[in-house]
Parts: sequence; structure tokens; C-alpha cells
Amino acid sequence: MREHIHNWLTEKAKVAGVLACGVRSPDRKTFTRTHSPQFTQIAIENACRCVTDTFQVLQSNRFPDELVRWVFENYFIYGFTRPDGFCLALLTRRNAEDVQPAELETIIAEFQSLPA
Amino acid sequence: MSTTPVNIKKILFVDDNTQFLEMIERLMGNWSQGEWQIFLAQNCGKALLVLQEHAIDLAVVDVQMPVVDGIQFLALINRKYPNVQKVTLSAYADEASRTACLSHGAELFLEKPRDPADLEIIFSTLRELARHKPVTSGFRGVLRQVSLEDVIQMECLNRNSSILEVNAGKWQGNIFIKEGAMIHAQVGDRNGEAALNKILSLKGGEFNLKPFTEPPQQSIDGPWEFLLMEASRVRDEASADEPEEPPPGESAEAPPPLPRPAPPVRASDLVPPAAIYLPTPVNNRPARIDEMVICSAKGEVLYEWQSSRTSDRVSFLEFLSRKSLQLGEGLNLGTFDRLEMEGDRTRVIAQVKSDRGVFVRATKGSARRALENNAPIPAP
Repeated sequence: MREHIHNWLTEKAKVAGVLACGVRSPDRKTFTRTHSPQFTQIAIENACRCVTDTFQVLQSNRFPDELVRWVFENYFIYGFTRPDGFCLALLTRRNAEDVQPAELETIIAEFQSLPA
Repeated sequence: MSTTPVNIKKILFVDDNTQFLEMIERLMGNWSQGEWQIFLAQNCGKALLVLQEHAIDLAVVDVQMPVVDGIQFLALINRKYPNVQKVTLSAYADEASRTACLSHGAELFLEKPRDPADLEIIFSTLRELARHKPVTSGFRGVLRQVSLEDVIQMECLNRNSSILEVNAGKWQGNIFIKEGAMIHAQVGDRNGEAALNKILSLKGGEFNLKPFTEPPQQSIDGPWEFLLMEASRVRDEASADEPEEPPPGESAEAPPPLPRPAPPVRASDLVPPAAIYLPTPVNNRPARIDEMVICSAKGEVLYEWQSSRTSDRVSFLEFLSRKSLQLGEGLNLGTFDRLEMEGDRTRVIAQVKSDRGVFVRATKGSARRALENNAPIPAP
């Protein structure tokens, strides 16, 4: 069931700097991948739900939502959404060396074209 | 407030369907095996009294109720009782309702089960939520964002009897409502409609909904709708003509000057370079600030510039405060600072601190997406 999403996440979680990631579908199923014991699957699922909730509120307020970033003291959570309601959340360290924008750009592009 | 053993959770169900409430009490009372103390309210007025009298942990509210619907009620308890966890139940779970509920503080939006057997799933979900430690820090909205008129209207529409005790700085007053009619108001040395008008003109403050007792006199007569309209007219006229009246026993002082509208500034003037969302566009054209709102932790607007939707912005900051705490649960991400949102031409930054919230909307200097510039993200 949506194995391709799971496989894609497994692949993308290996991208340098991405500590954990998750995709939430419009039917509220969540697929997660974490590469750090610090970030449990339950906590990442919860984060994905919060990111999805936020996108809904952004849309109802007509705020821009192409690229959304939560800034915490030590980490970033990037959020992306698609017109069909799929949401992607990426957890990275807040450190310039760890994450390359070009790699993030690639992930976003792939997420946008990922079959539902 | 009544006392209950610490591990027993107090759960309030608000629904106009008596049979549903009875079923909830019977089944969930059984399933919780004494973990829950269940309270039932058939309307929002009764629910407010329960909230006033008991330290409720979780309120489960039906979205579709007559007179005052669940979303309005949710907004009210979100501000008056921010530490109460909230869940909405809806028989017609559409996305618009879901978004409205989440915006107004609901932790969860659940579909009302059509089959009683499905109630057990709802119960499990609620039990998990009730076990969570309620969020006790962060930015909170209070009365400022809920007009006292809303509360009065709710009480009158539900034909309730209660006393609204209002505190705003040195002003303290009471409005007595008996079976849905305002019968007495008192503030300072004023009584009757003059007192009601004064109370309704107070800016900010807090209120308590208390059980009704007979007032010392009946100083108000007339339909509540008319009284509220008249108070609104009096307030508008007063605010147009006069400086704010000092509390009893105090002389008037000149108010501090209001901040002048800010001149157009660059985004980089507002936020330290390391805090800017993503790098300045390659053509280096500055962003133009289109709107700004700064509010206190209590939701009071401290400063606004070119914002026609101040209240919505404050509500959004409140939502963000709650959501950031939920998001960080179990992840140890450190303190939340801000949410950055970027579209093709617009950028919004919403910052939430323990003592303030800041909302800034800007038009980007370049329409290109920042990531396309492929520049390194600035170090924190």
C-alpha cells in the first residue's frame, strides 16, 4: 500500500542533513523515516500531523505555502504541500554545513511528481 | 473548584443531543474504569458553568449545535480556558469545519461515529489525548479577542442565569443575567445601563462567569439585543469624541503616544540576517513590508501597520503557538522561534515569543523562489 512512498522516503532520508522525514496523505495516513534514535516514529508522525494542520490554516488564511519552514532553536522543519493534499515534512539540523539547498530542491521536485 | 484525585481526568462533553450524551456517559464511564470523571452539558451556557466550577482536562464539543455552534464555543473556551484540551466531534466532517476547528484551538477533529461500536475508537483516542500533559506555556489569547458581548449573547440566547464578573485594571464590575435577560449591572459607583455601557467599553481585562445570585436591585430593563446595540453606539460615540476615562479615584493622564506608522523598511532591518528565511534574491532588490502586527502574550495588539485583519493575525499567532508546542512534543527541538512561509511573490514571517507575537507580510524583491538561487542557508 503506497509502497513507493515508503521506498522514496527511505531513499531520501539518507540525504545529508535530513534527520527524519514524513509524508502525510489526504486520507491521513502517515509514512515516516527516521535516521536518528532521537526522533521516534511516533514523534515524527505527530510532527507530520501538525505540519498538515498548519497548511490547512495557512490556506484558509490565504498565506503563502509553497515553502514553509519552522524554525526551532536547534532544528528546522521544512514543510511542502501538493495540490492533491499530500504533505512532506523534513527535519534538519539548523546548520549551514549540514544541508544543501540544491538537495532540498531535488527532494521537493521529486515529492511534487511522486505518484499519489 | 472541586477536588479530585490527581490521576482522574475530568472530561466534559458538550452536545445538544441528550441521548448521545447519555450513551457517552454510560459507555465511556465503563471503559474508563474510573480514570475519567465525565461531565455533560447540553448547551454552551451550561458548559461554561462546568468549566468555571471544575478544572476540566478535556472538552469534547459537538460542532453542530443550535444557537451557538461548536466552533464559536471552541473559540471562546480557547481564550478563556487555554489549558483545557479541546476536541470537536462532527457528524458532517468537511474540510472547512476541520480547518475552522483547528484554527480555534481544537487538538483533534473527529467524526461522530454512526455506529455506537465505533465509539470505543473515539474513546481510545480521547484517552490518549487526556493522558498528554496539557501545554502550559506559550502565547495565549484571553478576553481581548473575545468580546464580552459574545459571552452575554451566549448566556441570553441560552436563557441562562449567571453573573459576569469583569475585571479590567482598576475597573471591576458585574452584570447580572437572569433567565436570559440582563437585569442589573454595576461598576464603580454606576448602576444600570450606564454601568453596562461602561463595562462594555472596557478594553481588555478578564471575566468570570459565576452562578447567579439575586442582585441588590434591578436596574436594567429591556431586550438584551437592544441593550447591546445601545452600548455599542455609546461606545463608538465616546471613542470618537473623548480620551479614555480614568478608573474611579484616578486623575486622567495623557496616554503614551501611539507609535507612528512605520516607514517602509527592508526585511533585513527587522530580523537579524541569520534569521531571514532564505538568502536575499540574486538581484538584491529589497523586500517591501506590506503588513505588520505585534501583539502581547495576552493577545493585545501592541502595534499594527497596514493590517486590515488584525484579529485574524492574532488568532493565527495563537494557533502557531499551540501548534509549535504540539509539533515539538517528543522531538527536543529547542525553543520555537518562528514560522516562515514563502510563495511566489509573498513572504510571511510569524514569530512567537513568550512575551509577544510578531506577524510580518512582505512582497519579495524578486519573484524567484529563494531555493532556486542555490545559495547556502545562513548560519543561525
